[in-house]
This record gives sequence, structure tokens and C-alpha cells, in this order.
Amino acid sequence: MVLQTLATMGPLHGYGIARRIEQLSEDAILLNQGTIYASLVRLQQRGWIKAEWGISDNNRRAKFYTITKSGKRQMKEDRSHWERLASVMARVLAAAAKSS
Amino acid sequence: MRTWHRIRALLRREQLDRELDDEIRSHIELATEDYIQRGMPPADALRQARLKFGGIEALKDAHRDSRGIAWLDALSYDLRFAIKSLKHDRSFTAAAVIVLALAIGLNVAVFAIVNTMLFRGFPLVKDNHRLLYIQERYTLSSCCLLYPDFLAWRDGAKSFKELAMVGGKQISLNYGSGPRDIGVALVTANTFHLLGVNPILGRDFIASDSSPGAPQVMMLTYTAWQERFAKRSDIIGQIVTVDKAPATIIGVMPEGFDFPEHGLFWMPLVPTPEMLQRKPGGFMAVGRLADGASQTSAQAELDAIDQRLGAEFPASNKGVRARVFTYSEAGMGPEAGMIYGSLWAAAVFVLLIACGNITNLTLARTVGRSREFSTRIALGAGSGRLIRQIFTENLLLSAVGGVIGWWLAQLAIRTWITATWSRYVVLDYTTGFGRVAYALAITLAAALLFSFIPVLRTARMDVNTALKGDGRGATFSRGAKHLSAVLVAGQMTLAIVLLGGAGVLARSLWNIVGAQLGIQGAERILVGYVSVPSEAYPASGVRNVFWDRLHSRIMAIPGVESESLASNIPVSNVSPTPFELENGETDTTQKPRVEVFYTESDYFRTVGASTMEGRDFREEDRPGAPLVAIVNQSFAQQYWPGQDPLGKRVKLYGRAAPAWYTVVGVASNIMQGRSLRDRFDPIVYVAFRQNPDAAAAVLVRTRVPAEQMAAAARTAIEKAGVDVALEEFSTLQDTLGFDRDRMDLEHAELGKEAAVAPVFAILALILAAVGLYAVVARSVGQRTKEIGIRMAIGAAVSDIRRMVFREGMIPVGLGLLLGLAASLGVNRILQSQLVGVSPHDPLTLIAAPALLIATALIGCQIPSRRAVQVDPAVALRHD
Repeated sequence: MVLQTLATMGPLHGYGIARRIEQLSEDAILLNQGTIYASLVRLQQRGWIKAEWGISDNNRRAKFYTITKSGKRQMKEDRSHWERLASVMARVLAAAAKSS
Repeated sequence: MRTWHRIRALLRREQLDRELDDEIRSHIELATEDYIQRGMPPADALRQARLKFGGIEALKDAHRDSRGIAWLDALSYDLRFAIKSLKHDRSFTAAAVIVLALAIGLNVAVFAIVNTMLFRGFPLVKDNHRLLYIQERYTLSSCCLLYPDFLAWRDGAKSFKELAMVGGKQISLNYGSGPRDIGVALVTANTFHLLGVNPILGRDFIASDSSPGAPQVMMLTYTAWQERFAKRSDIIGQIVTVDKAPATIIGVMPEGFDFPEHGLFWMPLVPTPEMLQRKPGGFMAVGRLADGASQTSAQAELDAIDQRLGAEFPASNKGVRARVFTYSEAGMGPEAGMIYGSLWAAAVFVLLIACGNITNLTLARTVGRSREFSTRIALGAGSGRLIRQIFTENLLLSAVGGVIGWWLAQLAIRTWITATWSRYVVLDYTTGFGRVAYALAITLAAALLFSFIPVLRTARMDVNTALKGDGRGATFSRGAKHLSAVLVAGQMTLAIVLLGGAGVLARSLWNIVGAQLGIQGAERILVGYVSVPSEAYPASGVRNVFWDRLHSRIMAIPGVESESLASNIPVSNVSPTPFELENGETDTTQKPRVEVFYTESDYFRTVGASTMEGRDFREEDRPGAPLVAIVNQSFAQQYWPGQDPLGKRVKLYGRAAPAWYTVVGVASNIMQGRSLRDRFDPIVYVAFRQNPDAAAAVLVRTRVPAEQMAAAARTAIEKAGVDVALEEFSTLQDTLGFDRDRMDLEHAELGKEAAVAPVFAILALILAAVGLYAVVARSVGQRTKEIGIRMAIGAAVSDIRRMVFREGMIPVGLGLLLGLAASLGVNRILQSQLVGVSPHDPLTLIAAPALLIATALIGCQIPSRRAVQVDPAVALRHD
């Protein structure tokens, strides 16, 4: 989801990513904004995103995260995986609905 | 990639923590501004931002975990805890570290020695394991090899990629300070190329250097360059004099390189006319195996070639077979693998005993710590974590023991090198990768080995029983006791095997050192090898003048009783010479050989022997006088039984032209040339002064202990001429000890083994006793209450003592029986090394268990004393 966000929004700082995810999921996912940083570190270590210090729109120093090429590749993989899963789920659920 | 990130993260831990702090601050500022923009009052906005962010410390932990420090954090925690816990238990830690250091040190030292003896080969040489050494007829250092045979092998044997031949000769060398007789190694020009070692200065020998009539050239060892030429940089091209002709120094070999013996100079092997006429010329050939060839294939090829040569040249080659040796077989004898293999096995035994020991100590300790462990389990520590804790502690112990052991090993190796150095064997003892790897491997293996049982027990630990009140009762199980007893029995078994082996080896060494030699008062005899340059003293006349001058100078020293010259000293080897007796008493076609020894008047008196019949040599036995000989009792008994030897004649084919010698006396037997000193061989003594050499052994008998006269004698000898060389000057007593250079190859290593084996055995014995003590002491400590009750209800002190001893000695007895049985088998392997002693030597088989029992009793004595001192009143109150 972080990857998805970075892919569509371009470079973002941690708060921006957190806000964006909250908005997309209508506050359903991110309970604590802080937890985003643990995931960001993991994604960085896998080489899917990279970070750089920069200046935000309102002139504050912040660390900006950008998706990398291998991150994009990973995202595609994830996406197809999720789509497959979702379609399977949909079929299973539809079948269940029919039989009940 | 990820691992790399994690390691980098660890190294930059503080910086990353700081960056995270910055990021959190910026996040909260951004969020606050966001809320303010959405119309919240600033104070509420900050609060809301913080609330929304969540626990900052929890985040930091999660962040660090993601960065991958968790396991390292835990490790550093485990380490700190281990240090604390080991510090707390000082006596345990000290005991364990000492035991480990000794065992690891011994193993590393033995590994280094075995590796050097069996596998490493000559220093700096490339691919040592592909080199093979070829000798004809005789083993190393005895002559000889026929040069034409070498050529035939070189051209015919496909198993060798390359073959070189090595020999030696005495030359008269002069590099500006007068002529000196010195030995040089002769090598075919391809030798260094074959070995893969290049000179550091100048050039290698080339084929044209060894063609007959080529200008003489010479290469130096690094030592010669350093000591004889002060490392002159212009050494290449210098001219020295070899046998009165100029020779050019063309190269210097690298430091540490010596081949085939420790020497100073090499010259090319130039085939002489005699060598080409199938007269013996060099003492060894060295070959590099071709790809795919083996020792067996090489031997087979040489056998085939030798068979052909035998048929073609029956006079020189009938029945002559070349033998192919590996480095260790050639230098250390055919039994080297067995000797050093058993040494290694003994070292591993000691390590096993040590591990058994520490296991017992650790078990004793874990019993004391069972409450700590069960509390920790109850508080939620996983048993995995506890096991890791045990490993960390043991690894730490092992590492400390390993470091000290490494240091001990280096010390031991240095001592070994000094004690066993021989001019004739070149060995490579430099610290290599193998030694470091071995040290690391056994340190780790030891830690795993003695962790195994404690870990097993921890994994099976029952928290409830352990926690319930009396932590002592819970772990004091029958299983633990049996385990300890088995460990003790095992240690005792290994100790007995080591003791038995060491015992028979020491006995056979004693048989050699303590044999009857036929000489007396060796501690009052000084010996040394004196030589003058043969070039400066070319003829009998001038030589005798020199020896006379030497004689009168030595006799002038107060306290000297007698002085005599001889071709060698008692016990040393004497080369056999063909001989013949009159009237067909011996076969004239197949001449028998006898040891011929050159001496002069007073020799027998000087060494403490005597002439039994006839007369001694006299002043008058000089050049021109009738040739005379003295035979020893063995000779007289063997060749003239029941006859009078006096007046009979012997024809000797020695270094001079064959001639008849008249027997004028019979001497008492003196040990000569029997490396095992098991019997007296026949000897013919010939008058040295009738055909004097430019070199001789000088023997001086003194009225006072010889050491006091040594300085005066040395001065007298060295002042007898300007160009006198004196070597190996010592008392005869000192030369009589075991000397590998004077042994036959089969037994050359016996002395070392016999000297080292008891060290192993004693170490094993001490370790086993410590192990037994630990077990018994623990058991007594745990049974304080029981002993108190027993005493309170009327048990006598002797009952308690008996109880303690019985518990300790049962496993000892068991181990003893097993050990004796194993010892009978193991000692048979040593049989080839034993001299005059059976592998099942009853004395050893009685002494070894007795020694073990005595040591074990001491191990039990201390705890039993503590047991009987238990005060029942105190013991019953004991928690």
C-alpha cells in the first residue's frame, strides 16, 4: 500500500504517506501513524524505496521517500497476486452465496 | 543485500536513532500544522498529533527490530550476563579455563607437530604432497644412488613430471679467511625448478652448470648469505675458492628454504667418470608426480626399470630395487604415520577427558542454578533462550581457554623445535592457516561437546518441581548421578589407555638409554670432533705432527689422565667395511663386512675398556711399521671360536688400498653402531696413526668431573693450530642420551614419542582426578542433610567415609577394567616401536592402574574429609 501510494503520488514524507493511507482507507487501517516508519525501514532494506532529506511544501525539513525500479516491479507482482486472490475470493463468495 | 543493510545499520546505530528522532519530530510538526490549518487550536493540535502518532518508544523498538539488531542485542545481553555469572562463580571459571587451556594448547601443539611431520614437507616448496623421494638399497642418509639408474628413471618413468637427484660432498672452501673443509649439497640443475622455489638474488642453476668441465658455480642459503657474507648486496658474481679452483656465487635462496638437509651451500651435481661407471654417487632422488600418477604407479614403474637394469648390469644392479617414499617416510621413517597418528589420538583423548570434566563441573553448577533457571522459565523465558545462555557462557569459557591454549601451544612448539632439531631433517614449523583453523575448530567443538548434556537437561527441566521449595531435591536425580558416573568411568578409561601406552614407550626408551655400553666413567670423558683442512695437511707426516702437537698440549693440562684419537666416539655408527680372513675362513667372493674403527694407543684406557689379551696400540705403530689390528671379543668369538686370535691376519678393503693387518690384541666389547644397543657387533680396530686422517674424534679422560676441564681443553685444542675446527664438544655422558641422529630410521622418532607420551598421560591423570573430585564433592555437598541425618542416628565417621569412597571409586573401577582391556589392544599398535619390552608389559599394566587408583583416592579424600566434618545439628537446619 505504501508502494502504491508512492507510485501514484511521487516522493512523499512519512506524514504524507500516513495521511494518504488514512484517506484512502477512510481511517480504517492506520491506527497509529508511527507504525508507518517500521514498514518504511523494511521497504528501504529490501531496496524497494529510497529516502532523502528535503524541504516540504510548508518549508519544513522532512525525509522524502521515493519508489525505486525494483519497488515498482514488486508492486506489480503484489498487485497481480492480490488481484488473483481477490478474484478467487469473489468466486468463492459468489458460490457460497448461491448455495445458501 | 538485506544482511548488509542490517550490519551497516548496526554500525551506524546512533546515527540512525538520531535520524529517526528527527523524522518523528518533523512528522509531529507537519501533523500539528495540518490540524491547525483544519482549524484546531494549536495546543489541541499538538496533542492530537501526538495521540495519532502513537507510542514513540514502542515505535523506536519496532524500528530497531526492523533494522535487525534484535539478535545482536540479545547476544550482547547474553554475553554481559555470561561474564557476570562466570565472574560470580570464580572457582568454577578458573578450573574450567585452566582445563580447557591445557587441553586446547596440547591439541594445537600436537596438530602443528603432526602436520609438520607428516604433511607439510619442505618449507616454501610448491605442492609438497606431489613430491616423492627415491632411495636405492638403503634408507635416507646412507649411500647410495647410481647416477645411470637416475637417468634411466628420468627417461623411463612416466609417473614423474620431473626428477632431480641430490647428493653431497666435502669440499675445501675459502672465501677469504683461509680454507675450511665443509659439506655442500649437490643437486641436479633442475632441482629448485622442480621444487618451485626461486632464488631471491641472482639466478638458478642451469643445465650447462652441471656439464663436466663447466666453470664452478655455487648458490647460498639465506643463512649462509646472512652469517658468512653479512648480507652483502654485491654477493652475486663474487668468486670463492672451492678445492683450489675458483667458483662463482650465482644466487641466494629465500629465507627459511633448506634442502635436503640444513646446510649452507649448493653446487650443481656434475657427473664424475666414476658415477657414470655405475659407482654410487648421490643419496636421493626427488620427483614430482605427473597428473594422475600415484606413489603406487611410480613404484611399479621403477620396479620394472630396475628389473631391466638388474639383468643388463648384474655387477652393480643385481637385486637392487629403488623404493619410493613420501616426505614423512623418507625423513621420519616408515612408521611415522603410526607414531604421529597415535600422538594425535592421545591428544584427542586428553581433549575428550577435559570435555567430560567440564561437563561434570557444569552439571554441578547447573544443579546450583536450577532455581535461577526455573524462575526464569516461570517468568517467561523460552527454553531456547536458556539454551542460548548456556551456549554463550560455554563458548566464552572455551574462547578464553582457547586464547590461553594458543599461547601455551606456541610455547610448547618452540620448546619442541629446540629439543628435536636435527641437521638432517628440514621441517616447516611456521604458523599456517591450518593451525589457526584447527585451533578455532577445536575451541568451538569443545564448547559444543561440553554444552551438549547441560543443554539436554535444561530442555527437559520440569519447572514445577524445580520451583517447589527445595531446588536441591528437584535436580538431584538418579539420572544426573548416573551420567556423572559414566563420565568419570569414561575419563578413567582414556587415562588408563594413555598411561599404558606411555608406560611401554618409556620402558623401551629406558632399555636403550640404560643398556650396557662397555665403557666406564663417561661423565669424566670429554669428546669433540677436531679437523684441520686436508688441503693444508695433505700427507700422513704433517698430519701426525699436528696430532702430536695436539696430544702434548692436552696432556699438559693439569687434571688430564689420558687422551686419544679415534675415527668416532663410542656408541656412534661405524660404516661396515668388506674384509677377508686367511686360509679360506671367509668366502672371498661374497666378502662379509665388519665395522672398522681407527684408534691409537690409550683409547681403551680412556673410554674405560681394556685389552683382554695381547697388547694395545703403541707409539711405534706409525706409517712404515707393520700394519696391526685389534679385534673385539665378539669378533674373536664369531670368527675364531676356541682359537688364539693373536698373530692371525685380516685383510680390509677400507678407505686405503686393501691390505693385510696382523691381530696384536683382543679388546673388551664396546657398544658401537647398534642404534638399539641390543648387542655387541664384531669390530676390528686399526691404528689411526698408520694412516692418519685430517679429522678425528678427540677423547680426553679427566681426573675431575669433565665440565670443569672443558674450557681448558677447548683452548688447548683450538691453540694447536691456526686452522683447527672443533665441533660438538661435550662430555661423552651427554652424547649417550637418546639421539635421533644416531638412531636407525625406524626408531629415530621413538625418543620424542617416549618423552612426550608421559606428559600426555600425566595430564590425563590430573584431569581425570579433577573430574572425579568435582563429582564426589558435588555429591557430598548435595547430601549434607542426608549425611547429617545418618550421623544423628548413629553412623560412624568410618561409615560415612566408606559411603563417599564407594560412590567415587565404583566408576573408577569400571573405567579401569575397560581401560585395561582397551590398553591391551592399543599397545599392540605401538609394537614396532618397542625395544626389549612386550606391548603387554606386566610391570606397566600393574603400575598404570596403581597410579590411577592412587590419584583417584586423592580425588576422593578431600570431599570425604569434608563429609565427616559435617555437624549434624547444622546439617539438619540446612535449608
